[in-house]
Amino acid sequence: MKRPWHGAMPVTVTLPLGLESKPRVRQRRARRLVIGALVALGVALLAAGFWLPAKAELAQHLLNRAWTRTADGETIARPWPWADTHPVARLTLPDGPEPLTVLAGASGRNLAFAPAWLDGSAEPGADGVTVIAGHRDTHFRTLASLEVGDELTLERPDGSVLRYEVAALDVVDSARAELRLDADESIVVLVTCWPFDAVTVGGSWRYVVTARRRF
Amino acid sequence: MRKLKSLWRSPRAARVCEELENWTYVLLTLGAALLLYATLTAQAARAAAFPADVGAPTLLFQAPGGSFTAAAPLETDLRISVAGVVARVRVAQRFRNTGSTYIEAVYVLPLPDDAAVDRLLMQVGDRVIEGEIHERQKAERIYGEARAAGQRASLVRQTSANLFTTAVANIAPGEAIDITIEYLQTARYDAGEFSLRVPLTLTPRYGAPDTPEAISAVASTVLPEATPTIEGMAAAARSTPAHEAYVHAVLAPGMPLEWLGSHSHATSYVRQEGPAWSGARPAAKIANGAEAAGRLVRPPPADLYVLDTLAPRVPMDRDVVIAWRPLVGVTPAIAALTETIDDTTYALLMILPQAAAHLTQAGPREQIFVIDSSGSMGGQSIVQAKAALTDALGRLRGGDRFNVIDFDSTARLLWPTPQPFTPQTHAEARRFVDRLQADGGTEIGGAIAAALSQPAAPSYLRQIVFLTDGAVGAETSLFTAIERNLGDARLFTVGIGSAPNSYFMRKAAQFGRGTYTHIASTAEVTEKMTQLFAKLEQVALSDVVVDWPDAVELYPPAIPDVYLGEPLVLAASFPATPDRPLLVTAYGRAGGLPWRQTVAGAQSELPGIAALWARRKIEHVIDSRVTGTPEDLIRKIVVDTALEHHLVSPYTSLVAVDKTPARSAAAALERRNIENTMPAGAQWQAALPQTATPGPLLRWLGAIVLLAAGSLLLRSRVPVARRAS
Repeated sequence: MKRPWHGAMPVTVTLPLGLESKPRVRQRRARRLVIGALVALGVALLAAGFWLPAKAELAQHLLNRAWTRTADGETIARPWPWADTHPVARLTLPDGPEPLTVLAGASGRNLAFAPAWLDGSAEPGADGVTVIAGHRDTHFRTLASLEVGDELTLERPDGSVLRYEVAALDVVDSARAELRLDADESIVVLVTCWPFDAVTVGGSWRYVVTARRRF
Repeated sequence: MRKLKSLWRSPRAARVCEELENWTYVLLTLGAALLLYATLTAQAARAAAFPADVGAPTLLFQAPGGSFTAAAPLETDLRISVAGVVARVRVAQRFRNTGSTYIEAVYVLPLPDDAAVDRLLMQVGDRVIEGEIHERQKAERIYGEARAAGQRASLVRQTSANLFTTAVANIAPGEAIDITIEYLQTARYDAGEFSLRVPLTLTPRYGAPDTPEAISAVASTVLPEATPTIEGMAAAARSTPAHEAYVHAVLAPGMPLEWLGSHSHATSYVRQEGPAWSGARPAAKIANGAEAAGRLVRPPPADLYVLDTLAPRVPMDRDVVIAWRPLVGVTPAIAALTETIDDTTYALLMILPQAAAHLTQAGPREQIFVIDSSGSMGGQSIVQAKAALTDALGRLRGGDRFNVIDFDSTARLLWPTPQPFTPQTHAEARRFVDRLQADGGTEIGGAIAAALSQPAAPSYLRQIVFLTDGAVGAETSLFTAIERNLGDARLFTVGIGSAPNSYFMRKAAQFGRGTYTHIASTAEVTEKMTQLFAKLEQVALSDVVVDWPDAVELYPPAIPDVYLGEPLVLAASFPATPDRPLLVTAYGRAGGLPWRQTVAGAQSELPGIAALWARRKIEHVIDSRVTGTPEDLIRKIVVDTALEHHLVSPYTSLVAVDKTPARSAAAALERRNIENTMPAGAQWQAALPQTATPGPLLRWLGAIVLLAAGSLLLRSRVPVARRAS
């Protein structure tokens, strides 16, 4: 008979009918249940939020192993057996503790694991513009502290290490700005989302680091 | 209904209300947290916000208050004078301050790769101040001091091979300062056509990396960096109207022409009689290039041709290209232009190869093909390389000798020594090429060593054809190996794939005294290999020796062969001999026969041969970094040469200071970057990937939900405590 009231409150619908005679207990349980649900939801969200960078970190370890195999001469060393991508280069940023292994193909899934090379752009180290994209909050978060004149290095599968010097730092609107892909020297362009501290995804601003091969 | 009413009065109702209250509280907490989150996001987004649409003006200047103001576009006056192969270009730009505060304007000036910038003029009202050349740090200090003292000042410095930065300090409100830069360049000659490209925009945004590391490592403390700024990019990303230029060219080709015209702009032509640059009167307006890029076929002979664009002003979104084709003679033409400064004579010697029809076949040849089958050649590259090599094998003739070397991590020779070309060896070589697969590393050194160390056959001209994508690491040591072991052989590089390492290819061919051919796609193989084999089969002029006066300083020091369609340009300096005229004799072999020609040096109509010589010397010295010249020595030679010849170089800058103060110490100075006009029809990347994970968002939401749970927990504890008391 009290159901019309409780029916208005979603959580109480789940209460067993037998408890109606003990309202206080029931109320406390309801509260506990709500708190429990909220805690569970919060923990789940946090876990998911922390899992993404952890996955990015973990993938780098697997990729580093694949890289060693690539450097040993395996042409297309898959980081894990079912992967359909392979490391193409290793990128060292001035503030990065370890070199980042770069995967071929800038798909959303590859980007979760590693910075990725846009396969339409020039091959790493070749003449032309090599575009490498990375997530601003994981692999490429250190781009924020790059300065013009900083040195990046790109290690290729054949073991050669090419040095690049940061020539420009730009913020562009990806909806309107355009990126040149032709050059008669080797240029590396690192792209990540901007602003670095934004919370939402899907913005059109990109932070573009242009680095020129240094001889 | 009655039951409902009684419910209100019952104690249970109070609890229900209490529960309701709790829920409202939770919702409020969640709401507040979401509001906080939304504010944070909005703040981040606002940091990236630019003025929506400013319409017509090209330049965006940020005023002290943070708002954006627009200014008039840069006015540019371009005057090109060409005499033979030497061109002097005068770029006058008016920096106008339409704002209400003093400004410092910064503009990136694109120039040709081989530009020798030797003059800077700053004009303020009626006064003209001539720029002085100083070592870069000193020039920047002079500029910085003048800027701080409120004096009008201008600085031109080289930021890369083809990018220069102009900075103008203390332009008063409403004032205009004219900055004139003059530079020399040489016309290019390719496939029988001379062309002169005068850049108007940053089409090749990335120039050759020849800025010495010692300089680029030390950030300039005085000069504003011409790095594109956020505001600049916003202005550039928006399609704003272009800067406009007035273009006027005077051409004295010094030879009868097949045709002349512009590849870039519609132009009109006026023919002038008379040898002098000044005083010549227009003879007749001879034609109008009414088409998009007009050309004039078989123009009547004239001393001077005057070219103007049909439109009085052209947008600075493409380079100006002027081209002219001389009537080609049967033997290589040779010309020597000279300029004498004090007791030194500078000469530019140009040898043009004959037209193809007049060439005779070269003697017996020994060709060694080196093909890269490393992993980086996988996919289309190896297909192209194999097609190119198969094509090359088909062009060999009886009497030729050849060998094929395939390399990845190791080099494999088809035969230990080169074999005569027969149907059997041809078939064997084709089978060898067919079986090639792209894998393994790239060990070029071994392959080059194997090719160069093949036993030489007397009287055979050895040509090494190197097909690779140039994915190599230790370039310097490779160049050294080529230079040391080349002997009489010639190395021709063929770049494979859409993006080969063309720096390596160009330089390897330069050290190998051959040429570089780039094959971008399989469709181009036949055409490009035909061109290459035309050069291989018909060296227009080889073993060139030039009989210069004593104590000559020549650039390039090693004289390359002259190939079909490619000219040889040598720059020399030697002590002047005013009493006798200069006679230069060049010896060589043309079509297998001894060739000799003597030419009398002619005083160049345009001054600047010395500057062009110095520019080539600087380039050569900077190039010598790959052969191990110490950085200190390079710097010293470049600085000495540049200071002597008044040239802007990676280590020297031109600076002009107007001693009269313009700005009082109290008035503020603003810095403005003037953005270049975007080049027309450029290739662009379509879309950039999404490069952020929802990680931060999830963490925020998680924290908010936990906060809400925590507050609810707190709230539920309080009534219990109260009840206990």
